[in-house]
Amino acid sequence: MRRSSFLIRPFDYLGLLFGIAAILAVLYYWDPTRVMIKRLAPGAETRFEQMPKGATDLALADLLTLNEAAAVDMRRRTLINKVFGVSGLPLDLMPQRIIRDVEKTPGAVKKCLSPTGPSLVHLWSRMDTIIMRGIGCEARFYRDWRNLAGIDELTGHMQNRWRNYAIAYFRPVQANGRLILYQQGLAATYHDQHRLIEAWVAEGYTVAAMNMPGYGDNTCYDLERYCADPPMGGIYDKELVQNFAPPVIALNHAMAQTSFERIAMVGVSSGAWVTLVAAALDPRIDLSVPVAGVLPLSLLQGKEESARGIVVGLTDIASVLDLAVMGADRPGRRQIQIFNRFDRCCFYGPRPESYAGDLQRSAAVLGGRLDLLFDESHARHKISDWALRRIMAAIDGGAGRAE
Amino acid sequence: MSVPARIALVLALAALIAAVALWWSGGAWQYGALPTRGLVRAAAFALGAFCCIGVSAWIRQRLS
Repeated sequence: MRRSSFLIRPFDYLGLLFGIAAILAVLYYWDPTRVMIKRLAPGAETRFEQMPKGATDLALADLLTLNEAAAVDMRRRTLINKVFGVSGLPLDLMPQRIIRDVEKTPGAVKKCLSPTGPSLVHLWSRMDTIIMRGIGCEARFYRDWRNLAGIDELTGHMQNRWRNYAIAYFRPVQANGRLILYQQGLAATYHDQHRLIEAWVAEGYTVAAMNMPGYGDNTCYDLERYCADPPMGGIYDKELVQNFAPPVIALNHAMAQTSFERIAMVGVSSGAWVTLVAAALDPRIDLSVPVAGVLPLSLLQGKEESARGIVVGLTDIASVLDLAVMGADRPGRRQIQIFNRFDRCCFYGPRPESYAGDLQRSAAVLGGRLDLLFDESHARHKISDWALRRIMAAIDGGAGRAE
Repeated sequence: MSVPARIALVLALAALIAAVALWWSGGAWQYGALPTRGLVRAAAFALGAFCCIGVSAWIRQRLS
């Protein structure tokens, strides 16, 4: 008996330790407790509460320079010229190729790098395959979505066997007259947001989902599918176009199909920067929501610095704050910037508070509306449920509805 | 089954159920209230607890 308890007891207590560790793991990672841990961690006040030195002495007079519609129009023309090499927004720029109903007839794909389907992909796939998930492989998992009429793939090839884009255009059966452009950030694809897109489609929204260059289908990895056509070349053969043409093309395509009473663009992380610029370039976007990104360049720190590359050459024409104002430059246009105050990655803390009031006033002078919201419900780099409720209220409620 | 083993079993099961529910809530991955990393860790610890309880039960059976 003594021998058996001598052998059994260590396993019983080790099991108990594992059980306690499992409970602690849940508490450690659960959003509400994670926020508490972040708040109580050493240095939390400096990181999440105090304004850093550079934020208090921002030269706002240099960063917020737009106070009349004519100045906005002129700045927009200069920006469009910088990005597209033409004086006006290219409203006739359409996808080179459209693959209709890709969920039913996906067409030939080179290889499904992440073939496990959305429910298992993060558990079974390597990161390098997760970020290469393609619509040709994933669409069959979306086939049975409620209210989904079909998914069209809109593609184009800009530079010979090098730069391309692919947009997933989700058509609802019963449309509610609203279009959402969704721009994913880095280290992920829009397939990671399939539940969000599914919910939007079920509600009747038409959705155009886009990845950053180099992610998902935005590579020439599948040469035959994406980069076999003659490239667009010429003025489209540059990086800025690869970043900022897809939202314009998606909108051109959408508006050629039907009319929309409201058009919104939502972007997360690096996608927030694309959203900022897209809304500044294209006044057809009524509501723009950059989430977990977008700060004046002088306030960037650490890994946030990589965002400079997205707007290189553009901030010489319009500062990040002016770009924001251009996205909310008239009655009916609105921008909501959402920041995760305890973000484990980047763009955390109170920095936007140093210019929020001035930014809102600048947009208001032009008749638009600009809001800055701080999400304190989690400590992750994501669009939370809290943020989503506010985004949907703004999309459904128009420019005037506030939270 | 000993008292520590019973407590371990209850804790591991509770943690596993809570982890899956929180991870799945609102849509899993990005939207759940628990990140995938948290789910994997909680599940790994719960599995460790189940293994230990299983081994202890097996030894008890062999020696009785």
